Amino acid sequence: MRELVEVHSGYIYLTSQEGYLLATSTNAPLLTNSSTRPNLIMAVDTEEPIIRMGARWLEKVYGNKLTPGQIVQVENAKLGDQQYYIDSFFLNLKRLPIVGVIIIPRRYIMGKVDERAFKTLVILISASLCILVIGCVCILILTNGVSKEMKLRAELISHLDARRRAEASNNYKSQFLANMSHELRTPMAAVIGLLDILICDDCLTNEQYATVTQIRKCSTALLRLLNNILDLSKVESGKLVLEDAEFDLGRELEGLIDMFSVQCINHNVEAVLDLSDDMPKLVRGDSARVVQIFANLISNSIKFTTTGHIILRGWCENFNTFNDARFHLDQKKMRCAPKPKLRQQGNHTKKAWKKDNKMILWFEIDDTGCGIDPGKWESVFESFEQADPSTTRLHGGTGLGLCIVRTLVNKMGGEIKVEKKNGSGTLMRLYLLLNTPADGADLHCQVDFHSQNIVVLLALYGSMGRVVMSQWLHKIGLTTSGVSDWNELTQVLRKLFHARRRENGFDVNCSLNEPLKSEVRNIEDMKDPVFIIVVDIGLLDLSTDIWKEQINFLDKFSGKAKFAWMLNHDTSNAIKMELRKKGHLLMVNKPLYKAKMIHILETVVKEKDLEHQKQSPDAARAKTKDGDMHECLEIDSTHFDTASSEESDMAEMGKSNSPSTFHLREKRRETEKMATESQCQSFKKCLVELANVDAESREDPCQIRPNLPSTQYGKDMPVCNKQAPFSTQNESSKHEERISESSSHKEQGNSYSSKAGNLDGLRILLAEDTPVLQRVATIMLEKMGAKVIAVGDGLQAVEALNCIPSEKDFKRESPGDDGERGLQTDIQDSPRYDLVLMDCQMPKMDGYEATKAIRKSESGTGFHIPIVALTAHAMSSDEAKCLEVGMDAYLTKPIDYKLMVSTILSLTKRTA
Amino acid sequence: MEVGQMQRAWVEYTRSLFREGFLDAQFQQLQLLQDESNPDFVAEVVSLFFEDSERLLADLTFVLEQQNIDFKKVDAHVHQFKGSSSSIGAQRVKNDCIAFRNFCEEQNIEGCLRCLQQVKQDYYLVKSKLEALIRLEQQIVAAGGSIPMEELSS
Repeated sequence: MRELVEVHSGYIYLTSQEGYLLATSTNAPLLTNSSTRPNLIMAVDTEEPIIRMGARWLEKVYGNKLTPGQIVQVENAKLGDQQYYIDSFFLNLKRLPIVGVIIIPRRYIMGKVDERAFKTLVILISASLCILVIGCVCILILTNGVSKEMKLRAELISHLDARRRAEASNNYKSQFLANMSHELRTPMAAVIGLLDILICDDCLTNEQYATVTQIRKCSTALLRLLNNILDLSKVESGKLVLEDAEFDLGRELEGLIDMFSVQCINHNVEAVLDLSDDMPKLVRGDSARVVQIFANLISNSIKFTTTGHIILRGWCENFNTFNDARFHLDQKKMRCAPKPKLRQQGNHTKKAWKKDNKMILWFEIDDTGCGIDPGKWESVFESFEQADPSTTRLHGGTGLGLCIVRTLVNKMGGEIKVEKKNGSGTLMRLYLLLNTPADGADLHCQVDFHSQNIVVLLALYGSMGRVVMSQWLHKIGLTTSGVSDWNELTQVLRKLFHARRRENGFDVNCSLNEPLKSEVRNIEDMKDPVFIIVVDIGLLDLSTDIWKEQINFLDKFSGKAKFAWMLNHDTSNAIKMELRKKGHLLMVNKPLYKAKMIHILETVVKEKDLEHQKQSPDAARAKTKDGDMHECLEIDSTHFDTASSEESDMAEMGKSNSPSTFHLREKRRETEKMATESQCQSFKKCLVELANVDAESREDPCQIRPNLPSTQYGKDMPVCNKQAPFSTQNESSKHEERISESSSHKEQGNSYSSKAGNLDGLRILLAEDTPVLQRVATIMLEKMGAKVIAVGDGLQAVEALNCIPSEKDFKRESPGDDGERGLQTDIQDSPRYDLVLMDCQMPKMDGYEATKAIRKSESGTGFHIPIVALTAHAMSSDEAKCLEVGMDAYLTKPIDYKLMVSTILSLTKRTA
Repeated sequence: MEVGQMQRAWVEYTRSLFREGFLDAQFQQLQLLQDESNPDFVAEVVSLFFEDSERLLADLTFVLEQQNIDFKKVDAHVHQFKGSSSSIGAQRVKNDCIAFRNFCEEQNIEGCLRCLQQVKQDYYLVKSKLEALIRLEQQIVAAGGSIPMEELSS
């Protein structure tokens, strides 16, 4: 047996079932020598240590119960210091069951594995730990990276959000301002209007008057500021919409120059308008904005010019020439919509563009002021930029004007910039892209006076104006000469008119300077010309009384020449009277520009024609009438400031109610009306009377103002009933009578002070037979400001109301119509009463019957006069009955006055 | 009496009239309507009321004395009387009128006659009261004081 297990140094032994060792693979004895006989040794007692340990181990583990058939296979029994495989097998022999056990050290079977196992385990564990650690590290890194990215993203989002919010709030502000514009201006307008009224008050002391005037100036300044800011914000918020209407550009600019001339004269600055003849008469665009542009520019010039002149030049260019020259250069500079159109138009210009022609209108504002530093030429157009920080202090202003100008110019398809000029001052050049209507034959009527033999002698102070005017007069074919002061004038006059007689010729000759001499000589060469002498009133010495002498002097020549006088806005009436007495009827206001000059010339020509017994066509008369109206217009300079944002606002509301242009048009219409209705057959008279009107309106600035508030506020503030008092001053008020009555009712004091004047101006017909009730209700309603007519039964009520249709015929004679004069067409539309209070129970004809009758009579017309029933019954059937016959509301007796008032108000507001 | 005393008397008297149901809130409204521009408003209205009422009562008496009573007419008169008395605030009279009308509808002659008596009684009562009030007011005004309306609301 040894050989079996020797290879692995294991042991094998056989035992009996009891455990007696039968055979081993070792040399250990199997028998013990005991006293009696040799005994078998138990396996557990054998000398061989391993076997012994093995047996003992088995015994320990399994006990002695090595039952037959039980096989034990143990893989690692620890015997001593080694691990052993122990396997047992069972030999079931008949007479001797044998259990065999094999003990093999583990080392030989799994030895290597055991060795390696540990190492492997260690390695595995360490490896997995490493991996774990690395994994964690990786995760950390990853998450770090991701979280950073998330953070960055979050920041980006929040930045974007913040920016969006900032932009939105900016937008909101602009929008808010733009929306608020009306709200902000209304109180200002009210303030100014009220101040105007105050100024016209006779009972002010000098101090008060000065104070009020000062307040008014400040208010206008504030309003101007407000308008500027609102304009800007409106433009920024994109709400500026340019109107597209036809207007006469020349006229607008002339009006503007007129307006500014007053200021100019005060500053000793000359304002000259020099528009070329080929400028189109009518253009399409937003007249108010165009005027605003120039108003801003000119007012800037005036602000900064203390002497010299301000010239507004204009000329135009055809679109395609402009295109060729600038198309490629300025492409990028074109900021607005015209850009894509330009390309198209570049191709189609000269072709028959039936609709509109685009014209490039160039303008220049040239002044001799303090100039702008070349470095600032670009930045002055920025908002709130002023060339010199001290400007605000010295001149006031916000620095917004040029910004607005530039925005508007750009919007109109043009550009503006400051140009270099020789000499001191500023030259601003801009061009606008405007459409001219297709009937372009309507260019400035080419006036041609070549055929007429006219000589014009200009005696004007302002050299610039004179030069410009004489150049133009040359161009249109007139001989012209100019003098600049009184002495020269006298000399020239003497020379010209005594030339034929050759008296004093010598003396006079020497004192004239060269150019003048040559001019005079030219004139002398002409054959029997018509002389027109345009004299500036400033040539007369107005400080002393010499002017009368001077006028007398001119009398000598009055037969030979026609004198036209250029008056200032503040020329006194006395002078005008004097001039008129002497037969000088041609009077125009400074400044002198083309339209006026043409007008003068035409007048003279026409007069000549008249004198030659020619019939002047009415059309011409009408035209010159228009011219008259125009030239005699004098707009109070303090009102020009408000020309701007208001206008486009109003335009947006569908009416052009702007103060300046509105006044221009309104006054034109008014003066035209006055002219056509009440005046002249001949030109002279016409001019005189208009000069009168002009004089009066200029003399008495107070009178002008109520005109303006009424026409202005009448439309601007329909809501503000408190304005009512204005209209009563004005004769040609267009207000409804309700407002004019309210002023008279305001005097009634009342205890319901909070409701004072609630029913102002309402005409109420009260049909009530109970005298007490009649009286009470009447007093009650009159306290509230209504006018009450009381009748005693239904029949009278119906009759009272049935007078309405015949109202139209008897408008002026009917007694109840107070507060109306002339032009009111409104009364024809509204019934005589605003409301009827109808008692239901009345003799002769009760309330129900009366209402039925009234409604029947109304059925043809569109009226529906509110009828309120007064009934003592308070049942629902009564209510139904009232409504059935056509009543609008009902009150129960005794009357709750508050309820009555509120009912009346609600019913009349609806119909109002 | 001096002005203050008279004013106090006036206030007390007016309050009593309200308390006893002779006048109601409507009268107060009328009083409020009186001011500098209508200084005699209340007196005016009251006298109008008296005139009107006399006429109405006379008419009523006449109609009810007839053989064939025309209840429609009676009704119309009573309606008017009710209207004017309610608008002046003569509460008792108004209530009587209401009762009167009911009897009218029933065509109850007895009831109507009784009501007429009642109405007349109450009317004369309120008339004398109002006359006294107006006299007091006139005295106050004559003495240079003003009628303390505002005290009534307290």
